[in-house]
Amino acid sequence: MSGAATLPAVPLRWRRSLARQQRLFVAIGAFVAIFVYLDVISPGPVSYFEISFLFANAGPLALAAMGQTIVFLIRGFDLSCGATLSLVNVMIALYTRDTTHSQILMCIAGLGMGAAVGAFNGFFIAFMRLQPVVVTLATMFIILGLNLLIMPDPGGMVPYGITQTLTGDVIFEVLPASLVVLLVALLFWALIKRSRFGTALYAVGSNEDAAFSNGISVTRTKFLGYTLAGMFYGAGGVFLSAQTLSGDPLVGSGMLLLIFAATILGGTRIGGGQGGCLGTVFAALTLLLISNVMLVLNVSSHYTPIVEGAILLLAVAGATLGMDSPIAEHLRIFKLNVAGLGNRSLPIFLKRPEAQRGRLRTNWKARVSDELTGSALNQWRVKNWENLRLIIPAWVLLVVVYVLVLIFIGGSTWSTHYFNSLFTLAIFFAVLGLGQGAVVMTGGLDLSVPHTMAFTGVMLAALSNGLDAPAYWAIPLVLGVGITVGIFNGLGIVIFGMPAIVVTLATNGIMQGLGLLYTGGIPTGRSPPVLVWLFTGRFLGFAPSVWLLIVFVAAAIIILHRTTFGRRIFALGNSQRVSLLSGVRVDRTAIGVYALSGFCSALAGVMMTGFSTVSFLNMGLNFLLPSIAVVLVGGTLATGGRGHYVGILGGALLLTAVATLVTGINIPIAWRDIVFGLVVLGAVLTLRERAT
Amino acid sequence: MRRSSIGLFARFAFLAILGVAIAWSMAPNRASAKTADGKLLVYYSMSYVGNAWQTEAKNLITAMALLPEYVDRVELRVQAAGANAARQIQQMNAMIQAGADAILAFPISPTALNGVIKNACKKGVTVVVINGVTEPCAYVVKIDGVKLGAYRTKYVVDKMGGKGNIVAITGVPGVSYSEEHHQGVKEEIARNPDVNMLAELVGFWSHSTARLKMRELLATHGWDEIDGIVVQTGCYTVSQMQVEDGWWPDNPIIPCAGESANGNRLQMLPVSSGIEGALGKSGQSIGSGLWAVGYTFRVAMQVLDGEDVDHLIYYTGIEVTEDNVALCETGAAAEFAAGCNTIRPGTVPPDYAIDFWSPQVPEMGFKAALHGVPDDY
Repeated sequence: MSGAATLPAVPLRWRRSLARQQRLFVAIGAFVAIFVYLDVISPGPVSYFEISFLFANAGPLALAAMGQTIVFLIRGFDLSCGATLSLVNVMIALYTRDTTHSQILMCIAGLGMGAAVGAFNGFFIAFMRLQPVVVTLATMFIILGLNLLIMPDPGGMVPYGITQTLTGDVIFEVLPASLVVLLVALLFWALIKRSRFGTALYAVGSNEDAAFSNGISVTRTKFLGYTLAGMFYGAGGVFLSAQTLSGDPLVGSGMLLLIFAATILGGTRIGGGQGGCLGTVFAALTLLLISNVMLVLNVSSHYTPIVEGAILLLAVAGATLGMDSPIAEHLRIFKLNVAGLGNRSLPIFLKRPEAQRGRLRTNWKARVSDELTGSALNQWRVKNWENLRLIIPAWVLLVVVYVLVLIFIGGSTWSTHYFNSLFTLAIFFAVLGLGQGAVVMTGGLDLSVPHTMAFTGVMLAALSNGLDAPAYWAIPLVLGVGITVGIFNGLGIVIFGMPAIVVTLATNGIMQGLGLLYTGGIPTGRSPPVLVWLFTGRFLGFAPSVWLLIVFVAAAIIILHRTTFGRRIFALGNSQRVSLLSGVRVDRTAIGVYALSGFCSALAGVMMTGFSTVSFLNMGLNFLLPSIAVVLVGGTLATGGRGHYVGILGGALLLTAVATLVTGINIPIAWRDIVFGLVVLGAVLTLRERAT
Repeated sequence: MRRSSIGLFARFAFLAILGVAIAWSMAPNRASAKTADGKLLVYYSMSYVGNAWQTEAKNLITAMALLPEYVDRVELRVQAAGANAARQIQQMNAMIQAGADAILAFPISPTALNGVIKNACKKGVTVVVINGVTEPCAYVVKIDGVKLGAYRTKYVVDKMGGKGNIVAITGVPGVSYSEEHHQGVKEEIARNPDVNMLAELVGFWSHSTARLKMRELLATHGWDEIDGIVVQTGCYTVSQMQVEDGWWPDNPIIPCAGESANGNRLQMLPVSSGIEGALGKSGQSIGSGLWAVGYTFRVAMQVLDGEDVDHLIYYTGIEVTEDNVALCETGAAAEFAAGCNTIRPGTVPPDYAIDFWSPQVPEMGFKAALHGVPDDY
C-alpha cells in the first residue's frame, strides 16, 4: 500500500467522484492516448479537417452506440440497431425531396422511425416480458427483410442540404457541424439523465425489484428506454445518410459489432445500472482511430483482425483493471493458496471438525407434495411441467411447419428422404446449440463461433488432406484446439472479469487472423473420406450423420441434465453468488461452459468440412445468429438458469424446417428474413410465462 | 478511498504503459508518411479478408506493383477494413492524410464511400474502385452484372433446349452486383416462356453456403426436377453434389453457368483425360473479374501518368465452356495468353478463382495470384 503515499493529496470529494467515474475516465484516457500517439507519429499537426472528418465519420456509430448504451443501462441487449440504421438510411435516401421543408420533415421522420422500431422492441420486452436478445434478434431479421423490400440494392439520393447541415461547418475552420450534433445529443442525454426518467433508467438497471418498491414503473421505464434508444438509432441513421449521401440496405449490419464494442469500451456495464453516453462517444472515436493506427503501423492485412481483437481486449482489460477487479481478487486468492501450501494447513473456514461434517449429512426426506397424486402420467406431467412448457412450443411449431411443407410441396416430402435432409442439415445447429445454449444458460454469449468453426475445419482439411489415416489424430487435435479457444474465452471472462461478448468477439477476430496466417489466405487440403461418408453414405436407411445426431443428442442431454457439471451450469445461471456459497466452483464451471462451446464449434467445423468435402475460411459465416436463435427458440432463458436441450433440438429442427419450406416454395428472398424473424418471435411468444 | 485511488492509478499506469508499448513497437515505422525516396504512394483498401478470392485479389495488386515498369517508382501498401463501412471511410481518409497519390478500393458499401472519395478528389488523390460507388470523380472498374447474369442464363437455357426448370444461386442480397446479376437472370428467364424459375437460393458467394442452400432445396425437390443452374458462385459444388448423390454418371451433370473456380473448369474436361475431378460436363465459366482488381492498379498508374482514362470502365470476363477448356502446364502468364485456362488439380483448392489473366493484364499468371509476384520476379 506504499504506492498510495506517493500519490499527491487529492481532496476526498474529488477522489470519490473519480472513483465513481473510473470507467468513463479510462474511455476518455484511451481516446486521448491514441489521439496523442497519432499526432506524435504523424508528420505535421492534426488539421481542422481531420478532426472534422473524424467527428463526421464517428457520428452514426456514436449516436447508435448511445442508443445501445441506454439499452445496456436497463439490462437490455439490442441486436436490431444496425438494421434500424439502414432502415432510416434507405427511407431518407428514397423519399427525401430537394426542398428544405421535405428535408426537415424526413429528418424528423427518421427519428420517428427509429423510435417506432424501439417501441416495437420495447412493447415485447416490457409488456410481453420477452427476452431482449430474442426480441431484438427477431426485429433485426424483420427489418433486414424490410430494407431489402424497400431498397433491393444500394442507391437513392440524399439532398445535399442535409449533408451540409449535419457534416459541414458551423463556423468555418473552427467548429464542425458534426461536433455540434454530437454535443446536442450529449446535452439531450444529460437532461434525460437528470430527469426523473433518467433516475428511473438507472434504478431499473441496478435492481428492478428495488426500483419497483420505490414506486418506479419498471414496465413503462423499459418501454420508454427502448423507444428512446430507437430514437438515437434513428438519429444515427439520419446522420449516416448525411454522411454517405445515399442509401444502402446493408450498411448498418456491418456496424453492429462495432456498436457493441463502443458501448462496452465506453464504460457501460452489460448488467445494467452503470455507465453513460459520454464514455460511449469517446469510445466510438477511439475505435475508428484504430484504423489510423493500423495504417500508420502499416499492419499487414492478414494481421488486421488479430491486432484489432488484441486492441479491443487490452482496452477493455484496462477499463476493468484495478484493486477491486477480478484479476486482483484471483491474485489474492492465489497468494492465499500458495501461503496455505507452505503452512500445509487449510484456510480456517475449511477446517471443520469432523463432528460438524457428520451433522451436515442429514437424511433429507422428500416431502410428499399434494400435487404429486393421481395417475403416473399426471405425476410425470406435474413434475416435468416446467421443462415441458419450455420444450413444447418449438416442437408444436415444427409440426405446423411440416404440415405446411406437406401442403405446399406435396406428398414427396412424406418420405425418409425429407427427414434425412432435415436431420442432416439440423445437425450443425444442434451441435452449436449445445455450446451456445450452455453459454446462454450462464448468462453469456459466444460470438467466437464462426471463426472457431472455420479455423478448426480448415486445419483439419489441411492436416488430413483427403486421407483417413491422419484424421484419427487430426480430429481429436482440432477438437482440442476448439476446447483451447473456449478456455481462452473462459479465462478472459472469469479471470479478467471482462464481458463475454467482448472477449468472444475479440477471440473471433483473432481466430480469423490465425486462419488467414495458417492458410496464407487460401485453404488447401480436403476432408477425410470418412467424414464425407457421414453425409453421403447410408446406414440403416439414413445418412450416418443422422445416427450421429441421435448419439449427440443423447450425450448432450446427459451432459446438461444428468451430470454435476450440468447442474452447476443451471446453478450458475440462476445466481452466481448463491452457487458460490453453495460450494459450486463458479470459475471452473464458467470456464468449462466456454470450453464446451469451443468444443461444439470445433465439432461443427469438423462436420462442416465433411459436409463440404473441402474447407473454406468463411465456412462459419452464417452460423452465429442462427446458433443463438435455436437456443432461444428452444426455450432457453438468456439471463440464464432455465432451458432444456430437447427444446434446443426442437429449435434447431424448427429453423431448419422453415428454411426448407421457404426455399422449397421459393418465397421472395427479402421475405425469407421476415419469415425467419416472425417465426422466432412467434415461438417465444408462445413460451411467454402467463401472468400469475 | 485508498484502494480506489490506487486502482485508478493502476489503470492510468496500465494505459500509459500500453501507449508506450505501442509507440515503442512502432518506432521503425515513424517515417510512414509519403515515401521519402520520392516514389508514388499507392494504397489498396480491402474490405473483407475472409476468403480465397480476396486473398488472390490482394496478391494480384501486389504483383502488379512489382512489374518492371512500376517497381522502381511505386510503393504499394495494403490495408484491410473488415466488414464495416465506417472503418473503411476512416481508413481511406487516413490514406489521404498519409499522402497517398492513388487509392484503390474494394468498397464494403458502394454508396457509403462517396463522401470520402469526393474529399480525396478534392485533394488530388486518384481513386480507383472495383465494382461500385456513384461518385463521378472516382474511376470505376465495373462488370455489367445484368448483362453477365443474362448471358450465363442464356447459355443454360440453350443447353436445356429452351424449356424446363432453372435454379439460381445469388450472392449477398442487397449488394449491387448480386442484385444486378440476379436481375439479368430473371430477365433472361422471362424472355423464355417455357423456362421456369424453380428456386432462388442465397449463396453469399460461398461454396459452403451454396451447398447448404442446395441441400435445403433438395429436401423437397429432386435433381430430376432441375434442368439448368445459374450461379454467382457454386457450379463446382453443385456438380460435385450430383456425383455424391449418385445422380451422375447415370445422368449427365445438369448444365451450370457460373464462377471461374478451377474445380468448375476441371469438371468440364472429359473423363477420359484421367484428370482428377473431370466429369465431362457441359458448363460455362466466366469470372466476375478477378483480373480486374489487378487492372485497377494499371488504371491508377495510367491516370497518374497523365493518360486520358474513362471514369467508368466496363469489363467482361473470358468465357470458358466444355468446348474450349484447356489445362495449363505451369500456369505462366504466357501460357494463358496462348489459350489455356485451367490449373492442374492438387496445386490449388477447387474453389480457386482462375480468371486472373486477361489481355489488359497480360503479365498476371498463376504465380502472381498465388504468391503475389510476377512470373519472372
